[in-house]
Amino acid sequence: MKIFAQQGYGPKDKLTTALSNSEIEGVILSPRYLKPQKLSDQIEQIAAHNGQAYMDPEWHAAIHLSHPMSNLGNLETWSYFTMPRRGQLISGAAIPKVLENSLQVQKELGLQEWIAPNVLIDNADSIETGISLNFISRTKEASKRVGNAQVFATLALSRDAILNTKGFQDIFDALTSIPTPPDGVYIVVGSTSSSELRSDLYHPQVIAGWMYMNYALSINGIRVMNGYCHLLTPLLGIAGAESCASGWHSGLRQFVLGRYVKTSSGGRQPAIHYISNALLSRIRQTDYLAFKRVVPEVANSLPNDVFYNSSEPDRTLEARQSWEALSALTQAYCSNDIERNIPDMDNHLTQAIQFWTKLANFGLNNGAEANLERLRAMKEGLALFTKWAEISVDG
Amino acid sequence: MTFPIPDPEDIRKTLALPDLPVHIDTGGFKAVYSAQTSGGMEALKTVFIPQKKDNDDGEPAQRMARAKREIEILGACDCDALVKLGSIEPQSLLFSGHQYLVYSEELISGSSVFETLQSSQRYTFSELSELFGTLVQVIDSIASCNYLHRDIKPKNIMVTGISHRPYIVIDLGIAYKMHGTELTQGGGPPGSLLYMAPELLMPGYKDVMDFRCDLYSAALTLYVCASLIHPFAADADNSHATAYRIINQRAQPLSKHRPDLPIKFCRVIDRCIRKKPALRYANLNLLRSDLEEVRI
Repeated sequence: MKIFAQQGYGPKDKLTTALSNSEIEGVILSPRYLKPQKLSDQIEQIAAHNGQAYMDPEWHAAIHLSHPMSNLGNLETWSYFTMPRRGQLISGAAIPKVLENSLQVQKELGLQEWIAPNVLIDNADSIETGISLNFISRTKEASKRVGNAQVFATLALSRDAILNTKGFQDIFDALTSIPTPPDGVYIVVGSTSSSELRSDLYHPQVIAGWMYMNYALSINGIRVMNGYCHLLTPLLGIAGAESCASGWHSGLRQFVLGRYVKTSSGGRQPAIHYISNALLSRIRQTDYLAFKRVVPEVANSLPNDVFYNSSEPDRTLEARQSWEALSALTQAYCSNDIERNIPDMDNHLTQAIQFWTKLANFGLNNGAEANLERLRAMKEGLALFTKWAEISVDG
Repeated sequence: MTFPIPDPEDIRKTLALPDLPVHIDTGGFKAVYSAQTSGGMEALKTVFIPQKKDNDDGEPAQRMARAKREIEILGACDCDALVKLGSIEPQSLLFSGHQYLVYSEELISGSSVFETLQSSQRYTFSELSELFGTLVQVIDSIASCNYLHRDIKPKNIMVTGISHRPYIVIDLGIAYKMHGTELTQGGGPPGSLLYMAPELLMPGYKDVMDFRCDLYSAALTLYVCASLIHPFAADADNSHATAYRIINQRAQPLSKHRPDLPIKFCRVIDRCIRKKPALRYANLNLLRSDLEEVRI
């Protein structure tokens, strides 16, 4: 499985150095942060480093165009970023044009593979589900009219849409029966909370649902790219993801539904973190040094560990360490044998919980409670996915 | 339900057949005869159409429409593994004052898969592989004409002993036209409960029906042929318990019953009988390619 960067504000040299060091294989570029010319330059740089470049059109955010507090960045400078009347979306009349406009822009930018626009599903039983399926079912035809590239349909949905289990699973019965399916699906799952550590995406049903999407699509020959997935990356890889992306700040590690509307929140710069694979958690640099004295496995024993040995690294090195760690996790757990990978990952999660418990027993409990809660949700989500996907893990 | 079975002599006279037709089977409202026709020996089918009454519920018209639909599908689908139409064109005839729709199909000799299972002999990998390939071909052919068979089961598959057509699927009496009109009555889905896909037992099943229902029935047939065990129906079971198990209980992996079969083949069968349509094969070419890998 491939690790991609989710591009956002302040990339500096993160993308090129990570590509040069093979810590990522591609980048999902954001037109929210880049005007057309800048994005075109980025594509060239990525290609020069043999990386795959994609552009997430983020068209679903166009619903906020008339919002007085909209926070759309450069999206409004893109020609495809307009919202037709809702009635035309419901009838489907506007869908081909919306698809073609966005794909045409991507073609002109020289992208080799495209991501099609779509609406965001807030509730599995809502009319947006019908509109979204209509977009997906027309994506391949629209891409053929524009050119000859592999195309990913966007499937953007809120975590609440996944919690409606029956409605959510019905979406996939319908989606997998589309006569002309897209080559792939780009999945974005939206969180309603901005807290990263206690993200509401770490709910067993949401995790199971996200894995289920990857599984149901991939077993039917549809490529799956996941945006904003961070620590869920290995689980999505087990379920069949072809690629997973995450970025260097919290808004690029999880997709917060309110990101396109300004809020009054501000605050200080977040601390630099290290991803410990044994803990399946992000920990502060100082905790990293303290924890590994008690539990040596906290260190990944990967080349980028060296960034953390003396003092806090800069944000570029932090991002590179994150991608390196996620890549190592996927190499360990994402083989083609799902019946073996699931119990292996379950054991890993059990061990991560035991490590956190051991650290807490030594008084090293910074973040223990929230991380334990998250790990238990991941473990439960993995079990729930196994049940939903009707997989036999006992042979 | 009983219905008046036409007298062979009446049939012979009406259709000007050289010999007396021989009654060979009765099912539903259909009596079947073997008969010498201009096309050779064929299966002559007579579908009883009851008289329309003032307070009827449209049953005569529906029965006629179902029979016509079956004929329409057989005419439309060019598939060797499906029974073919015979030389007698569909026609409405009266025998002893009762109305029948009469037509002929090729006469298939041999036993049904159901009959072969009575010998308690489990199918070999080669037989299973051949049978699955045939059923996939039939499902694909029917689906590409926008129909569903809806009643694939051991009783509706004939074992012919003919090398180029070893299995032939019969009886499309309850076939469904996708995006068309339902021609079967009552609240529940038609077909045989034992081989019915779980989604057909849910409310609003017509909205989710596609070829994956037939794929489920075909794979369950394979499972039974391989193991001689129906995973959801014990003997002397009641239909409610069976329906519950079809919806809620997962079948044991086929490899548990048949460790001698290639594991990948067993997994293909297991996948096709998953409860959720999304987890079965949405693309028959993928299925074919997986089966091909097993053969190699």
